[in-house]
Amino acid sequence: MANNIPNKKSLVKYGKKDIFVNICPYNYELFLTLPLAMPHILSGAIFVFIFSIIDFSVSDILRIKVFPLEIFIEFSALYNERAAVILGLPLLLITMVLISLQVWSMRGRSYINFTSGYHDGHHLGRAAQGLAIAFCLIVISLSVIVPVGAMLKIAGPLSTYQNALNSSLEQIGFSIIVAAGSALLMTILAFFIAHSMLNSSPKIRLVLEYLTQLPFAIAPILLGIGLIKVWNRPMTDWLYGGVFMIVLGYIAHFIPFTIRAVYASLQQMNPRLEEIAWLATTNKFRIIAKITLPLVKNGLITGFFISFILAMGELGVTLLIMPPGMETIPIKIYNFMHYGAEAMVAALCIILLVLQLLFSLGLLGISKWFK
Amino acid sequence: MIKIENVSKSYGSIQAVDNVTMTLAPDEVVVILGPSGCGKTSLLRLIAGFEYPDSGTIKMGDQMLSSKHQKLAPSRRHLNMVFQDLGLWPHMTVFNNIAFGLKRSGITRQQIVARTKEILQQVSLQPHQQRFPSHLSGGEKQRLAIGRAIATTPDYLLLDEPFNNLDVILKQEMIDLLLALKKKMGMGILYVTHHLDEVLNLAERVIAMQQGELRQIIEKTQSFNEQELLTWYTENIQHS
Repeated sequence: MANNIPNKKSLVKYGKKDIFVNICPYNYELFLTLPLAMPHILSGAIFVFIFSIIDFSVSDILRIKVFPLEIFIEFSALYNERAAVILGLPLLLITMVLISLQVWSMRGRSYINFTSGYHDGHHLGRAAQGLAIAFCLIVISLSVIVPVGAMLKIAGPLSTYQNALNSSLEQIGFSIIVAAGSALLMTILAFFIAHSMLNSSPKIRLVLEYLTQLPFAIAPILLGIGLIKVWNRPMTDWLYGGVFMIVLGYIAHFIPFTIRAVYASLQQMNPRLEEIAWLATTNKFRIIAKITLPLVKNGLITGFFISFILAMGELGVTLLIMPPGMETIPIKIYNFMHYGAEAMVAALCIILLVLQLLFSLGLLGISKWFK
Repeated sequence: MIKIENVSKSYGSIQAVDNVTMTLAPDEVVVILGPSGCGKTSLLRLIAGFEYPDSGTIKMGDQMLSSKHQKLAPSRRHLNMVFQDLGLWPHMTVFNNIAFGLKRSGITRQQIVARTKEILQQVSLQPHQQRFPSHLSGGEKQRLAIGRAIATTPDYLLLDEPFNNLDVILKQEMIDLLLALKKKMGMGILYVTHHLDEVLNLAERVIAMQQGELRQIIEKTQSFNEQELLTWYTENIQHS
C-alpha cells in the first residue's frame, strides 16, 4: 500500500492527509501522524528510560539490586566514595549520550502545547479505539489502581491514617514548605533561563537546551554524592547542615522539567508582543512584568506544580543530603519501611498521594481561574 | 530625516537586505513594494532597532540610530511600528494597550488618561475601551494597532503590511484614517506592501525591492496609474 503513495515525504511535509485517508485510514497515522510525532515519542521514551535507569529508591524499597543501588551501597554502607564515583561514571556517560540524542531529536520543538489546539476529528476505527482504551486501563490498573488498592488494604481502618497524620504532621508541613519554596525558586530561575534561551541565536540556544537538560542525566545518587563533596567542608558547614542543601538538591535534580514547561509557553508567545513593548519603553523589567509574565502564566503555573509534585515525592537525593533533625514525608516512609511498619507506610503513601492529587487539582483550578 | 546608507543584513546564507541606501523625509509617505521574502520586513526591523545591521548606518538627522556595533534602543528612536499580525497585547484592554507606551517618567496619570482618551477618539474606539482585543472586529483591531502606534506621537511610523487581511472597503477606510492622522500629526510613513492598490492610495514615493536590493524608485513628481504601476512593477520585479 505504501508503494502506491507518490512522494510521501512531500505529502507529509505539506500535510495532505486526505490522500492518505482515501487510500487507507491507517496510512494517516503511519505516514503523517507518526513521523510528525516521532521526535516527541523518542523524547518520551528516552525520558522514561533515563528515569528508570537512574532511580534506585523504588528498587531499594523492593530490595531489588539495580546498578544505582550498588553505587548507593558502596557510598553509604561501605563508605567507599571512590568506588561509588567510578561505578557512577558509565551511568553518567549513558544518560549524557541519551540526553544528547533527545535534545537532537527535539531540536527546538515545543514539549507542551498550552493552547487547546485544533483537531478535525480523524478517528481510529472502533476496534482500534477499544484497543487503545483497554491498553490505557491495563496500564492504569497495574500502575495505579492495584498498588493503591493494596495500600488501602494494608493501611486498614481510618485510625491508621489518624495515627500516621498525628505522627507525621511536622514532616508533612516541612515537605510542603520545602517543596513549595524550591518550586518557586525553580520557576523564577527557569523563567530567566528560558527567556535567555529564546532570545539567543539558534546555535547558542541548542547548546543551552543541552546544558539545561543535562542535570536530568545525573543520577540522584551521583547528584547526592556530588553535593556532599562540594558543600561538606568547614567553610560551608552552616549551609550544609540546613534546609539549603535540600532546596539545592531539588533544584539541581528537577529544574530541567521546570525549564521545559516555561520554555514551551515562551515559545508559543508571539515574539512581536515583546518587540512592540520595546518601542514604548527601555525598561526590561516593566516589559517582563506587564507583557511577558501575564502571557506565560500558564507555563509558570505548570512549571511550579511539576517541580512541586516531583519535589514532594523525591527520595534518591534527599536520602543522601538530608541534614540531621530534618525529615520529609518520603524519608519518613522509607524509615518506617525499614522498621517494618507496613500499615503506617501504606497510610503515609496514601496521604502523600492525596496531597499530590489535591495540588494537581489546584493546578487545574488555578489555570482555569486565570483564563 | 531618516538616512539609510549602504545597509546590509544577512541571516545565515540568506541575504535579507543588500546594500540598501534610501531616505525617509518627515511628512512623507514612502511605500516599499516587493514580493514576499524580498527583505521588506527585515529593512523595517533594522530601522525600528530590533536588529543590528551587518554593515552600513541608519541615522536620524545627525543622530546615529544603528551601525554594526551600536544601536539606539527602539523606544528612543521617535518612531513606532505596526506589524503585519498587529501584535495587540491580548491580556490588556483597549485602553491599556494604548496607555502602556505613555507611562513614562514625568507623565502624570491624568495626562496618560487624557492622552489615551484623545487617541481613542481619533481612532473611534471610545465605546470599546474596556474590551479586550479578542472581542474586537478586524477593523477595530487595525484601528487599535494604529492608535497604539501613534499614541507616543512618533516622528515616523513604520507599517509592515498591516491591512493584508482586510476587505477592500475596510482597507480603504484604514488608509483614509492613516492619511488623516498623518496630516494631523505630520509624521513620516514607511509602508511595506505587495499590494498595488495600497501603493496607489498611499504613496508619495514608491521603492521596488527584490532579493534584499532596492531596484527602482518612482518619485512623487511622476504621476502613475494602476496599469503603469503594474507594468513598471512587472518590469522591475518579476522580470529582473
